Amino acid sequence: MIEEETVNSVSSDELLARFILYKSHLRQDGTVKPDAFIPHPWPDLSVTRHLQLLEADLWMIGWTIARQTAKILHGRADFRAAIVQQHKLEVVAAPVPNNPNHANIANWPHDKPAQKAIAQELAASVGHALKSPSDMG
Amino acid sequence: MIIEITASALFAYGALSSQGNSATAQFIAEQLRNGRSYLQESQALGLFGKGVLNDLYQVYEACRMPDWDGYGALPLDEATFDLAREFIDALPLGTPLPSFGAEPDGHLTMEWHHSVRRTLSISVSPEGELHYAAILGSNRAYGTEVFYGEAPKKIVDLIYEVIPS
Repeated sequence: MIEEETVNSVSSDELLARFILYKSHLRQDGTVKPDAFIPHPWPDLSVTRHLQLLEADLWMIGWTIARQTAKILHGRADFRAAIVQQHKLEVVAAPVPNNPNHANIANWPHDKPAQKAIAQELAASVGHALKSPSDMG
Repeated sequence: MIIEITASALFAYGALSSQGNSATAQFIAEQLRNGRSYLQESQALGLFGKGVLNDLYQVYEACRMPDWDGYGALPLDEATFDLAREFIDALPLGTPLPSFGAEPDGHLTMEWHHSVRRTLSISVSPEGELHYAAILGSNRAYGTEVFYGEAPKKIVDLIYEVIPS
């Protein structure tokens, strides 16, 4: 069982996942574009913490989001909380009914070019997105 | 009046930037713009001739409705598509091909990508702003240029820094 304190505080070595639900957020070589990490017009960017979830459980969360929004899950971008914190952003635990590992990346700069610059660094840290297993669809 | 315009004048992105206010200057600028648009259709020289318009339209079609990204994105509107098309038309002939995408605030994006450390992304806003961010090795550049029908020199220079000709 995961301690409540561990669940609420997000450490820098934690892995975070952003599910990719739009095809053109991936390049042809499977790497992730910065477009996938732009929060605007919303203040925060929605992510899922790995914590102690199994791969299958993580994908199940992605599939649930895709089903709820009638989208196709194209992949998953994993990155460390540390890269987020390096850019003075915060990862805030924000559990939701179907996803207790849900978190928000908050504290983004307001201007768009600065958001893009951070999004590029996040995308660079991810490299290739993980493809969703076909047997779970 | 017949004015001959050489192809080299059409290649140079500075060709359109020396517009005067006289009728002759405006006529020349118009002819240059028309000549560039014509050559953009060329398969050898132009971005439109290489199918860029089709790629751009596919992104527009996919993102015309709200929530196209599953996270509550705003839709792309026609004005943004038109501005993006005009911006491409204004790029110097021979400019490398970008790839297109969209952001959740309804901006259309163009990316020139060589590697994760040599990459440029431009967001076209419905208001005609071009927000850009680039990684150039250990350096970064970001900012905003306003699109008035001519490709801003800053952005053209960044394209060629990311993807040298």
